Amino acid sequence: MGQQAGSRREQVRAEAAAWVVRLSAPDCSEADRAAFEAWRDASFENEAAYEREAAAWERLDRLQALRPGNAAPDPDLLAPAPEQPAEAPTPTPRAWWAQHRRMAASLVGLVALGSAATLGIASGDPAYATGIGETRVLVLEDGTRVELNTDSKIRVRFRDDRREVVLERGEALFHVSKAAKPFVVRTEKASFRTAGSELAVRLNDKAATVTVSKGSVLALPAEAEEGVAAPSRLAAGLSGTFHETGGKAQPVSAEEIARRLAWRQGGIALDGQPLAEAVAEFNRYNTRQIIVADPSIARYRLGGYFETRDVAGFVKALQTTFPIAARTAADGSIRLERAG
Amino acid sequence: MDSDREARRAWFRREVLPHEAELRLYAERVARPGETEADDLVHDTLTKMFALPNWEEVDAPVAFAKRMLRNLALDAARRSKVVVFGAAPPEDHLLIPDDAPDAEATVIARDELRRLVEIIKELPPQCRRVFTLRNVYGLSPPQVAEQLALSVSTVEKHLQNGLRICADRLGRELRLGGRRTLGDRWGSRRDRDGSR
Repeated sequence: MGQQAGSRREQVRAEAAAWVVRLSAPDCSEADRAAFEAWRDASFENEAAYEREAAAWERLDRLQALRPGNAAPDPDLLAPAPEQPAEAPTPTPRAWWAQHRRMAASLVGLVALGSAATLGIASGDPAYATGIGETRVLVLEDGTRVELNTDSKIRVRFRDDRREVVLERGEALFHVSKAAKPFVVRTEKASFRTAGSELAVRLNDKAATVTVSKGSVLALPAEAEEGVAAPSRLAAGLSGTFHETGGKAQPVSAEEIARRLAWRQGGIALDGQPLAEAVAEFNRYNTRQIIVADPSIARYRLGGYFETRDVAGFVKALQTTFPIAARTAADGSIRLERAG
Repeated sequence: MDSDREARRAWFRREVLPHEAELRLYAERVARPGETEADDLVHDTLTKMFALPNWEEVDAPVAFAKRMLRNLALDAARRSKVVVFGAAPPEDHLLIPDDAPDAEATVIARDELRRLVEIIKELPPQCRRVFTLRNVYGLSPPQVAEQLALSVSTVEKHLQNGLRICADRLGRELRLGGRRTLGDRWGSRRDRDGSR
């Protein structure tokens, strides 16, 4: 082995890396692709090396989370300057804000109807979003760290008297930095105000759920602003769910909080949830949808830990554990039925 | 046929690649100077794992890969006719359980982004600039070339070299601890496996 092998290894890996770069370029042609497939199919060594380089390239995709919303591309964004801490290279929207504040304010006046109006959204506020299956980490100008889960969107509206973020859809975890100015997470159903804490907020069709893991949060149901409902204080270890008609809070264990936040590690953790609920979780992260076609299997309870994108692994586990059969429908969705 | 290949790739990415760092640690212990290099052992093991005809039946891919790696090292030792004193270190001595369950394989550390940034910062300056424009801002190679006044082929060369550096760095980083953040319930299985 020795040096000879080393140079062969390096050559295969270099070729693999070149193909990853080529295939990811928007101008990659059919001919490129055909040449790649010929190269890849020539040996398992080539194919394994390609998978390795491609997996690394995909992990690097996460760097897109650092992309500042509106600034011109800066090649030295990640320069190893001592004054630039690794944690917070995200240029903040502050300067941009100062320039656009007046325009944004006038846009607020123009928005007359709909939920955008009730949330007071100005289209000039910087927004950050994720697609299905993506997650993203942002650091806001006040040092608050935001982790966006799949298919989520926030709008950042920092003002003179408050730091406000509107959660428009999906789910986000906020590590709110301590500051005199209150930090407010607004949703259509309720607002959550804090001076510094860690809270996760998740929206679905009917409700907003907040889970507080550190510090404390003042929850104001949407009606509270018209003086109908009273605000309630949620300390760490409490979770609140808010509907159109009101809300309720209940204690949650540290374990349950960790389970709900498994998505931060790319996982779905199940601890006795019914099949229907587990399937709904998977469907949040994947365009390939799973359908529970037989209500008699919907109540099986599941435990375990799965990768959010591993639909095949999840379906396989279901089939080996329960009398469940899976069938792929014409549209690519997976239908779950009772086996036999 | 194609879908079988696709399933094999998915398995390889899910069950084998995330454990590269564990394999490499193990390889460093069994590699012998002048005979085998740890990086070659890992590379050849990855290839052999990918090529397994019955990959679907492998129960504990990491443990399997380690045995494979050890055999490669022993083969090399035999070929070089050097007398080997003692066998390769027993797998029990490794800190990492050799048959880590699924979740372990797929967990990505919480501060992955931070580590990626550190890796990018250590690239050679021009390579780092190219990477930043391509992978942070999502510019295409021709757009990167224009902004930095380089040729497109130079940009692709930088991306290729940068990816090589990043892939090797990432391949040395252990991915541990995800299950621990899920509390005892999720940690218990690991403990059982580890003390087996």
